[in-house]
Order: sequence, then C-alpha cells, then structure tokens
Amino acid sequence: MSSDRKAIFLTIVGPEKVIRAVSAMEKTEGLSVSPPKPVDSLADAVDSVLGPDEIKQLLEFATVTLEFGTAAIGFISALKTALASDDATTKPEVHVLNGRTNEEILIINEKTDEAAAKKAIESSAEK
Amino acid sequence: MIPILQFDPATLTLWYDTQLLAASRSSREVGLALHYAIDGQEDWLKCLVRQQHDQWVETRCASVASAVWHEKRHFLDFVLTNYGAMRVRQFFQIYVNLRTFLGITQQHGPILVPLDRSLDPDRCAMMNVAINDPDLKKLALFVEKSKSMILDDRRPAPSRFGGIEIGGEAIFECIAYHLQLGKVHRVFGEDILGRVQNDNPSRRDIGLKYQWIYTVLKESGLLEAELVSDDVFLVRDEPLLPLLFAALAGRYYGQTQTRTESTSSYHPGERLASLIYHLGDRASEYARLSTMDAWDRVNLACSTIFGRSVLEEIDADYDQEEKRIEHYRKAKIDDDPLKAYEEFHELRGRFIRILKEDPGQILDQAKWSDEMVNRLHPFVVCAAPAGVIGTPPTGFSRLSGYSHPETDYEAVPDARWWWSAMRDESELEENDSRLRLRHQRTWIDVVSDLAPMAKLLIDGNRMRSMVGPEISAVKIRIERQTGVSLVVDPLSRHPAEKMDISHWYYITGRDRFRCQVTHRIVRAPHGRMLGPWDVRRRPAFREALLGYLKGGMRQRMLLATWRDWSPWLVCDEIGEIFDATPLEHSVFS
Repeated sequence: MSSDRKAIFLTIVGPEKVIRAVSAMEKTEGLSVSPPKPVDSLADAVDSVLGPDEIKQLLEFATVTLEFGTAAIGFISALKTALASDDATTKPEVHVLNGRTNEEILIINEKTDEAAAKKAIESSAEK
Repeated sequence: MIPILQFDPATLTLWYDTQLLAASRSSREVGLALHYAIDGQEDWLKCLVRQQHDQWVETRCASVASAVWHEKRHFLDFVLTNYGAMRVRQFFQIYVNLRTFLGITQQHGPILVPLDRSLDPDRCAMMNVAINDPDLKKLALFVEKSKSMILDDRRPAPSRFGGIEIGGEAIFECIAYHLQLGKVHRVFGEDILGRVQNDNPSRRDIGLKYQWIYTVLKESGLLEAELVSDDVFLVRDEPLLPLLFAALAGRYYGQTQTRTESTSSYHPGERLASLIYHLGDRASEYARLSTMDAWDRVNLACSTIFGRSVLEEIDADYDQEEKRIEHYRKAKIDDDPLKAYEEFHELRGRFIRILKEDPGQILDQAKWSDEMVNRLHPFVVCAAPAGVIGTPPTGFSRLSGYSHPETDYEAVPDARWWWSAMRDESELEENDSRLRLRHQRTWIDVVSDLAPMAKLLIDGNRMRSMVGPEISAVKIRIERQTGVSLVVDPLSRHPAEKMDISHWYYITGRDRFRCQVTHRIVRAPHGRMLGPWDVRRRPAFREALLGYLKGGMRQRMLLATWRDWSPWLVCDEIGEIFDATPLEHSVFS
C-alpha cells in the first residue's frame, strides 16, 4: 500500500453492481472512489468446447484513495452496505487490494468487522 | 482452463497447442484428426475415426475434429456479421494507430497500460504517471469505449438459471456449438454424437454457455425443442440460425439506432429480445418454417421493427467499412495493417455474396455441414508454450521465439527456440474454392507484431494467450525501440490463472505424468499444475530449484525457466513447496 502520509491507494474488485454502488457514493473528506471499470477487456481468444469450461464472472474495479483515520471506516461501512443490498443468492464479496502492488489485503463481505478491516488496511500501508 | 484449440479475433487465426496434443493418449491419431478437420479432408477423417478400436480414441478424434468445425464457424461469423466485424475492427483501429503511438511515446513520460487506465486521474496519481498527448488520450478513449461496448454486450441477463449471457459472443457460441454437433451427427452418426456431447467434464456449464438459446426460444414458442434428458435437446432447427443472424446485424459506426419501448437495433442481445417479442405473435408458425422461409421472415421483421432488413443492415455496415478503409488510404496509414484490413474486407465481401446468393450455405445446418465448412481456411498457428529447441519444422514460419545472439547453435542448440509458428499456405488462386484471407505474409506481421502490441494496450498482460511471452516480449521491444517506460497497471500484470490438474488428465486422457522437478511418476488424481505466470511470480521457488541443481543441469534448468511458458506438472510435494514460497507482486510491472 502506498502511503506518503497523505493517501492510501486501494483497488477494490467485485461484482459490477456492488462496485458501481460504491463508486457512486459522494466524495467525502479523505475519501474518493474512482468511476468503475471492467477488470478484463473480454476481447481475448475464443476457446473451443473441448475441455473443462468455466462461467466467467464479470468483475469491475475502482480505485479508492483514502486518508488514515475515519475515512477508512466510512469506506468499509459503505462497502458493506452495498454488499448487503445485493439480492444475489450467493452473497457477494469484494477483494480489497493494495493499489500499487495488487497484494490482497482482505476480503470484505457483509459480516466483516469494520474495526478489524480498518486495522488491516492501515497496517498494510505501514509495511 | 488450458485451451487446446482457440480462435483469435485479433488475428482471425486458429491456434492449437501442439505440445498439449503431443502429451495426449494416441497423440498421433488425435493430431491427425485435428489436421484432417483443418484441411477439410473429411474422407480421411472418417477413415481415421472408423479405424479406432479404443472408444476413448474414437471419441476424442471426433471431439477434436468437431472443435475445429466450431472454430471455423467463429471465423466465418467474426468476418461476416456486423457484430463480428465490429469486434475485429476494434483491434484494427489500434493497429492503424500503432505507428503514431510509437512515435508519440518517444517524447512522452511513462505510460500506463492498459491504455484506458491512463484516463483515471486517481490511478495515474497512484502510479505516478500522466497522459498529456491528445492523440494518446484519443487512443485511450477508444480503448475505454471498446471495453464498455463489449461489457454491455456480455453483461448477463437475469434468468431462473442465474445470470446468462445473451449477447453477440454468446450467440456466436450457440451457433458454433449447434453446427458442430450437427456436423458430428452427419459425419459420424448418433452414437459418436452422444459420446462427443458427453466428452466434457463441465456439462452443466456447457448447457448454460452453449444451449441457453434452445430454452429461451422454446419458451417463446419460436423453436420446437424437447429436452430428452438432463442436458440434451432434440431441436427442429430450421428457423434457428436466421433468427440468430438477424440479432447479429447490429448497427455500428455511430449510425442512428431505432429504439422504442420494445425494440432496439443496437446490441445483439437487444436485437434478439426485440425479434422474439415481435415474432412472438405468430411464434408457432415461425417454429415450423423452413430455413429459407425463416430467413425471409426475419428480414421482413427487421424491416418492420428496425427500419432495415438484415441484408440492408449488413450492406450498410459493409459500406461504412469501405469508407473507413478509404479514409485510411487517404490518411496514408501504415501499409501493413491497411493491407490486412483490405483483405478482411475482401473476404467479408465474398461471405456477403454467398449469404445473398445461397443463404443456405450459412444458415442451413445440413448445407453448412456438407458444402461450406470444409471450404473455410483460417490461417493456422501452431503454439508450443514450452518452446521447441531449434527452428520450426518445414512448412511453418516462425512467429515468436528466441535466438541468443552470436551463438553457434550447433554447439549450443538450447540457445534458440520457437513458441509459435504459422502453417505455410500456398497463394490463393483466382477461382480457388477456399475461403480464406489472401496473403499470408501480411497476416504473419499482424500475428507476430501488431496483435501483441494491441493486446498490451488493451489489457496489459492480462489477456489470455496460448503463448505467455508474446505480450511481455513486445513490451520490452517497444521500450527498447522508443525509450519510453510502459508501466503495467498492477491489476493487469498477469492473466488470471486457474490451474487444475484434473483438466490436464481429462484433456490428455492420461492417468499419470512425470514430475518436471523430481522426475517421479505421479498418478491421477494426484499432482499439481503450476501456471507459468505464477511460477515466475515466485522467484524464490525458481532460486530454490536452481540452487538444488549443479553444473549442466543447472544451466539447462535456467534456460528452461526462460523458455518454458507451459504449465508445470509437479508432484504434490513440490506443489506444497511452491505454495509456501512468497508471491513477488512487482514481477511483470
């Protein structure tokens, strides 16, 4: 995680609906979320039927810029709200990654403890 | 998933993994089946399959041949249909701008790839880059718009089976799968058809991906289809392809769309829904039409609801494409991509003529099977992800590989290898019945240079490729040529690799392999398959391997780690050591 004492950069990856909901949240002091983008171009080669297949999930991502402190809690809370409002049968989750290295910090779902999540995010910034 | 055969829309080529085939049971027979199907040598193919006493070999030969027919249909649909041509054009738009891109980058600071990520100020701030040049920005905007279009097309629609794709790519898959099975039935008979259908461990996913259209159209009353077992349909398919083709005749090039509450002329999924709605009034009548009558009916339906018939939409699109090519000619665009696009346009013209003069060849399952598919000849690329020492065999031209400079290759044969090679094709004669692109030389340049560069700009290293280094090698080349630094976005530094050893056992039909590290025999279901990108992201694993070996063995392993981009097959113990070594996230940045 980047920390020049001003900003922590994260990448959040998850289902389109959830990421769009989080991206749409209003910019608040110490927190901004970029517009969502697809993770993959979906323009790669077309495989033959021969062989095991997988249904690809369409994932989107957003870049989150936040400052140490209360901004992290607000962000995690907004993420949990977006996850809880998704009516999918299997409850979705969002991967929170170090923006610069892509190292996974934690996975957030609607049951995630916010304080623990905040600690994980801020500790990884100090590495 | 480890693909054995692929169609690449960026280059219109058919790729096969020669090493995966060679590792298979009865590799000679399976390889022959592949080549007979590629060359349209159906009598030889039938002979080959009939001769097999082993049922696994018999089924697998038929499956591989049918996979080739599947990909050949993609070749036709990507060239002929408006949706397919749009997808191809997205690559060509980048190809024609590559020279400009390379010129601009020489004066520019570090650039973020995929290029559209450069439009995100937060992302740029994070990676300490910025995009200043207006032409670079324009190219980045184009990449962003293309991705957005494909995402709109591929967004799953809700259904009681979960989200299912119903867009252009999904329709392509339905068409290709339907026709491949039809041809298997015609060539090999019902028994082998049943076995080919079962020759896949992910039957449920197959159903969702390739057969959703039967369910949708059956429930709309537009297709007579019966589910005879869990996942096998019996279909009266005469009216099927005309309807799907009408859906693929979308309107692009910024043309005015027709949109009402119940219709949209734009994306294939929207067009399909519009047609289903419109034809629904007399659905049972449609379901009983012949292919030609159904084709007339959908053309009429499109005229009514969209203002243009299918053929008129195709003509309009082809006309726009002609204007686009003329614009490139006047702008004195780079010769190579222009030549390739002109050939694409020429071939598309041939397909359009066939669609107008004898539509059955494209829309009728039997006619397609008997008269058309064996005429189709996409260029063929032989991929060897592990690298093959030396030069490609006679009859193949190298596309990618490595030759260590100033080396006596007789003395050090390991210092030279190839990863991919295109099969040489003779010149196209004037009255040639083969349907293919004209000059192979033009397309060799597309495959070896233009496409990898474009893929880097579109998706960083993330776009899946049979040959891992084709994209990362081009990054190094661009940086050396221009002096610019291309920063790969952290999210796109490598493809998402999901390696499952059971896939390898299934594809090869083998029940054992020799661990590539310990050389011990590993028997199914044991063993691990390590992705080539994952191996390189764990440099400590490689160092441990090299540290264990001495002298010549060490040197060979070092060369192998540079050369071998195939998945590594290892025993469980080595797999555990691999899992325990830390990931280095900055590799491939």
